[in-house]
Amino acid sequence: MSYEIELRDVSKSYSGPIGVVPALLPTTLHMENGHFISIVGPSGCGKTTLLRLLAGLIRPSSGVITIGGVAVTEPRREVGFVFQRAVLLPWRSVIDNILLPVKLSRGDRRTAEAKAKALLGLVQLSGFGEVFPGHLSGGMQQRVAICRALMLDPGVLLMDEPFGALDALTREQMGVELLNMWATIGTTVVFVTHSIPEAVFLSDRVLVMSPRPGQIIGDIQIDLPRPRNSELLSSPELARIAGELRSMVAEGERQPTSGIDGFGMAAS
Amino acid sequence: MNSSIRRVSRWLRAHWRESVVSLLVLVVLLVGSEFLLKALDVHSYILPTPTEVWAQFRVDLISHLFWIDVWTTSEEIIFGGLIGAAAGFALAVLVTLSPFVKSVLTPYLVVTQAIPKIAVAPLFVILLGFGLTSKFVICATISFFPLFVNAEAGMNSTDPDLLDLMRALRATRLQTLWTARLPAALPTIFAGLEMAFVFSVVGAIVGEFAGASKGLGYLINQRAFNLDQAGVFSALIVLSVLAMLLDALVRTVGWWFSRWQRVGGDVVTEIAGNLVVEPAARLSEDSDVGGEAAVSFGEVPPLPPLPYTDAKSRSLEEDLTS
Repeated sequence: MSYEIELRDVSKSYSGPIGVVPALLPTTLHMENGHFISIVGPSGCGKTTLLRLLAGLIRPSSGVITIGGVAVTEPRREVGFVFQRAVLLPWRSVIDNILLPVKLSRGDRRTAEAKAKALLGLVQLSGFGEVFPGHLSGGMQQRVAICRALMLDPGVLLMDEPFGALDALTREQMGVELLNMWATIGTTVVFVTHSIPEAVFLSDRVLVMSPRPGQIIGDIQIDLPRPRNSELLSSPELARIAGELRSMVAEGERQPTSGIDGFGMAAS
Repeated sequence: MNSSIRRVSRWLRAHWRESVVSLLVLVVLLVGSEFLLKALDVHSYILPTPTEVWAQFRVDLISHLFWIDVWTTSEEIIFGGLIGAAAGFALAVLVTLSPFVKSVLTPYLVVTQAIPKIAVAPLFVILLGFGLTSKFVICATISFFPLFVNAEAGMNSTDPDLLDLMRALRATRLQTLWTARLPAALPTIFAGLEMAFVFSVVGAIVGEFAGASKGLGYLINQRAFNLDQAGVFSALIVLSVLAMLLDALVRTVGWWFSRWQRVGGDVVTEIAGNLVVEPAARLSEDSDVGGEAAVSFGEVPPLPPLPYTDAKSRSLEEDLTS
């Protein structure tokens, strides 16, 4: 089953006290199945909005989103979501947390348990099944959250700055582990981040967004070879591509490319 | 269990001075009042001496009728309190599940909450008689609100990220309540339950003051009327012990249900193939914390081979254990 993501003229606006605020301008996008796609941009550029639209957590003001040919109107089983905070249930053990999607969809726990344990192994947390989230570090908690998102075999994995709450060193480690894990699982991944080097290191394709109002201003393919190891993080190749993206982001922050700024008023 | 005993004895050893002085204060008060009241020749119907209270207390403890009174009041407090608490909780669940029910009921709830239930006690006695029924109702109405307010507030203040997670996992409203809102609200709910029983004690006594034929409140009233102050104190002592026991019980149950809140600071890592909890460093004066042995979670199965690791990209655990 192919999980191609398609957005056709999708936009999102909120009606605020000052009028209508466009969070995302009409966007048309196509994302191939099985690719790792990152979305970078400064705060307020609409990247989280775009991700939540894909997840079905919010509805678009206009346009249609389809995943695998089926329109997205509400959260779907085929789409896994990893939040910025792990948000594990602290009163349940790690394994019970991973099995939460199964419990909520009234699946069979016994068959699912083997799969949950395999997923734990994949993120290098084998044996931590009976531990409680309060005993885990931030990085470990986020890994459990990733297992939970993968529990129902999603075709698409959406990640909203999942390593944002971690320190820089853990972040790098988690990036490498994510790639290892992704190589085995092979889902489509849409990864939102505000770190350009992280985006370049992880993905096949990077979308650059700019704020006021949110829109995509850049879309480049990353042709760095896979498998990628942590040495790549300090390579000149990565630095060059990151520099390109950085100037795109700076460009986007300087001039709003439409006549309306974030407050719904015409730009001077 | 053993660790709690150890913890208590450790606390006692560290704080023995405070405990001794506390006890001394009580002794001084008792002995002092005994002599002072005798010296000032205070009549026992104004204020009894500790020895007089003790004498009456001993008589009461072996009196069959006295224990009937104690049991009556206990029944009123416990069952009335439980009924009211259950109703408060049930309504809070209903209100959380259905915004429609919430808007319909809110005006009535606001009004009834504002009325001091104690003031309505005589009304209930007239309506329902001198027996247990009126006291059950009084205790139920008075313990309804702490539970309703706390449960509703607790379930409505769930972490918004947690609610987002439930939505992303396509949970129904009932599932969200049962798996997310309710467990998170348990500490608040138990705080409400504690309050409910404290209020229930007051409700039972006031109800008996308003009209009763037995019970500790009835007894206190009668004895005060007959100027038997020693008797009043005796009944008061038993009532206080009853209230304290109840409070301790509720507190313990609530404490057990919020165990997960106290997890934290301790980090689990992998050492030589076994999971080990390293207790958090505690900055208290208790110097023998080292007695807490590391808890072992058992053997860890070997890691599956990873496709793309190289010598440089080691896992975090390897770094910690190397």
